[in-house]
Amino acid sequence: MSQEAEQHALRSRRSHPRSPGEPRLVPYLYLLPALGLYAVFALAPLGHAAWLSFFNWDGVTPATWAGFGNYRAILSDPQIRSAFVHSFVLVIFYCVIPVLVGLLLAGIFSRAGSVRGLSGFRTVLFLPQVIPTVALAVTWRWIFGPDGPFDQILRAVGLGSLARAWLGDFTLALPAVGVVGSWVMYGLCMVLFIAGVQKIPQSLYDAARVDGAGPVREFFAVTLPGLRNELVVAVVLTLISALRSFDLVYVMTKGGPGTSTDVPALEVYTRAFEFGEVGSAAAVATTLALLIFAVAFLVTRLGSRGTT
Amino acid sequence: MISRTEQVGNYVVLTLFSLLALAPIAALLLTALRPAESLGVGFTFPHSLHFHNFVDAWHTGEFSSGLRSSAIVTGATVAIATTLSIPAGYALGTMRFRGDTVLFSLFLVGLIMPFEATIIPLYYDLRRVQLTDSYWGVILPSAALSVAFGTFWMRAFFLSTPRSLIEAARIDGATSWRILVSILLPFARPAILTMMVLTFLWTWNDFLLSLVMLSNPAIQTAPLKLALFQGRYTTDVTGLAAGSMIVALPVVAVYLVLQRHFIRGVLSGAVKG
Amino acid sequence: MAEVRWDGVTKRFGEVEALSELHLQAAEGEFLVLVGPSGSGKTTALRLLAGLEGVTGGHIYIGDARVDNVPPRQRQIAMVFQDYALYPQMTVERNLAFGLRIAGLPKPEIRVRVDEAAEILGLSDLLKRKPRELSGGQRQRVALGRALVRRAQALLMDEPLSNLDAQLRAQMRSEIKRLHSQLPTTTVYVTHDQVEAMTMGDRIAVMEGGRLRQVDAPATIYEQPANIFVAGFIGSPAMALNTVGVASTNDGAVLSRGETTFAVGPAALPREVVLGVRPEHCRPWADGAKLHGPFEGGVVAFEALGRESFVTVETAAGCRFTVGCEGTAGVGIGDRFRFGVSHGWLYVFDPASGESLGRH
Repeated sequence: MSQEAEQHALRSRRSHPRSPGEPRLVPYLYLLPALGLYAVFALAPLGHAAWLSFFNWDGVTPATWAGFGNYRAILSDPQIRSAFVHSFVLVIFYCVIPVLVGLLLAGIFSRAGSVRGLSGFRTVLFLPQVIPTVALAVTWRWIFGPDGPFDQILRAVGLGSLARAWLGDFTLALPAVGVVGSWVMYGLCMVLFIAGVQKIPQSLYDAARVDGAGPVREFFAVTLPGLRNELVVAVVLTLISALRSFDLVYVMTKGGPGTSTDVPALEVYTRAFEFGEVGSAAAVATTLALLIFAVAFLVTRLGSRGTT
Repeated sequence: MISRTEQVGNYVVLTLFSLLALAPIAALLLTALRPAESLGVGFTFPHSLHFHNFVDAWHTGEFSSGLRSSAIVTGATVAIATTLSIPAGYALGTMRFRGDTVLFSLFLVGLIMPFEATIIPLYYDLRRVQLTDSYWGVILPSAALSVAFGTFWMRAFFLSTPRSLIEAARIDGATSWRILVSILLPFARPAILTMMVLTFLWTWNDFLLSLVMLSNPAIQTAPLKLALFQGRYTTDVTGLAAGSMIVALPVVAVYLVLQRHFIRGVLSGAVKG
Repeated sequence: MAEVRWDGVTKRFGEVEALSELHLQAAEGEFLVLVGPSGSGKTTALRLLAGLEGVTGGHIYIGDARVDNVPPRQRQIAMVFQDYALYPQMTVERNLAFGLRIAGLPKPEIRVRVDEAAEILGLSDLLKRKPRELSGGQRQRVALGRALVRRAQALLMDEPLSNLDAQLRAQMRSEIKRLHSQLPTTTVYVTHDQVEAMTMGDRIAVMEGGRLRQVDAPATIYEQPANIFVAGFIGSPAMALNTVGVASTNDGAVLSRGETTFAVGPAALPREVVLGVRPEHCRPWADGAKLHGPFEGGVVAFEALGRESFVTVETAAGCRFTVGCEGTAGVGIGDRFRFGVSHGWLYVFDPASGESLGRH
């Protein structure tokens, strides 16, 4: 279509005087089934969760109004606070480390042009994302078990004194779970960033090189800005994954030992279904949801700042 | 131009990271195949491959019903989500109408929203209509969230189709339905396939929803079965390994066959997101 | 085939007025070209005619019928798009037949029309191919064919040749003209290329900023531009436009800026006008030729095109003229150059309104 016509199509999509004969109600008909299902089984429950958070309820007997009581309890309850702290620790493992690793590799590959066999590497690197988390949890629980493969490796390289039951250690259990998260996420980041890097025009690198930039300067001046979109996606995906973490924790440690690997999602589950504190659970759930929305919004905002 | 050493170095780095990704999985596979009598919890390289471990785990973990349940739930979710997402994405991507931006933003919420926040009300509401402990209790919420992604995805696709094509068809006299079916859908096959594949992945691997909804062993999905299996047989490393492989196999198989679509889906989602 | 008419048509997109009170018509069988720069409103006018957009004010008529609220499919028009808009999964044959099948025409009739159009456009061998297997020129012909089979009342074309390379474009230009002489359907053709406009149109409508600036036969547009915009837009290289002062003398008006003066005989002109001269009326100075001048200036630019060249000269007063020379001019930037201007070819325009004040 001519450029003018393109501009038209774009402009008229935003203004609403309809073109002659264009169906008036039909769009809504197309949307209705999807919207209906989505509203009933996804949006309504979200609102309902917020609603429930203002009550004290055990799930069986009638509920009593609690106002913001559940939320105040969150702020004062050390267990919930530590759960959120743990999830922030997980953010370092799920998000920061894989993103950095991915960026490092992207930086290395930015000078490579095309890589032969890349699709093969991509398939393997992406594999951890595909396997059911429960299966991964089972696997890594075995790996980190006492005298498990990880301990075996430690002993083999002469660090046998460090060998222990990692998931039973109060301080080390959480990092152990984190390590699994890093392992799951780094492939995703690598795949994302390598693909992004290949989209950066070679001419930008040539220009930088002519200007006298070394590899480090090149990375910060060309690679990093060029990966802006991919960075936002990677950070959002991994960050949310860290905050939402349930499957891994539930299967690997059930929040233990003690509460050292407790995370918000697990709190939601145990409070609602094991302790019958539905209102409190709903409050945690709503807080978690709000936190995730805020983070996603912030990161996307930060990411698009500075682009025209 | 980069030097030969740098090129080799790149491949070495890539290989190392790939091996790192593969190692635990390979270890798991080998453990699943080792002689069942070996009781060690560590990793030992099996000198003989015992495939019957899979059969044993299959029975002990009741994975046949688990896989069947997963297949039913995932199949239904993918079918429903696809059928609903295509028209919705079509409307949002090609038509202009009042509230189209607002409605799209609503769907965006579902992309970010965690299941974890909604399972509580879902459980109690569905219990009231006696849908807990049934396939529908899992299918409907899964489909609802998948529809959010699907609509986003299909909208992005339809936005990328040339306006002039649709206008030419309108001048030729085609109704919006006909345009969708005769002209755009054939075009859309790769996008639809990617959407189906990603929905399949996320639904199959879901754990929390099944955990909350399904307590009847006969209808529990495979990941759930695996977690329960671990709960009961914590030290049966061989069995656990075999069970994990069984649960992971269908998804990995689909992945290997359709990997291009998987990866492309995530990558282009980055651009459109 | 029918006449099409824009009757006081206005189109607003939000705050922006893309088309202001357009009064224009194309007679039955006429080939009308809408030409102008981007944003001139020419494409808007076409899309309103097609029914792809709705009017904000005014009315659209096809034949005797007012079609403001009639959807495109019922207007019996056919349209050719710049990017051809061929249905990619269908063969050429099915592309041609698509609209006819929707209209419910009987199969034999469809067959007849498709074959006929394919014959006229030289597509008979390509009927079973898919669009991606065709070259740009072939695809454009299929797009034309799709419009032909509809036997529409009016044929609308939106910059159909812009995506083709220069040689192909020239070829398709004559192809479309030939088609029109064979099947004289009322045609509205939008382009930004004035060469296309001049060679193809029975009449040209020059548009700018959402307004119609002049509509006339090509020769008239060229020789009698109604305002500065049309004068400067049509004609390549463009007409040289300079602001000059007017002084009255006993012999008539004298237009001048610095030492660059033109005596034009009796004329009623304001004190300041815009003077336009086309390159073909500026000639290198030759003694004895009946020319205004001699004028002299420094060469600021030149274009050598083999058969002719154009030298842009700037006089001491700051006036620029483009001089048309035969063959290669053999000048360099900065050289002094003497030229004259033919009598009777000075276009004069009012500086405030831009309207033409005649040719002197």
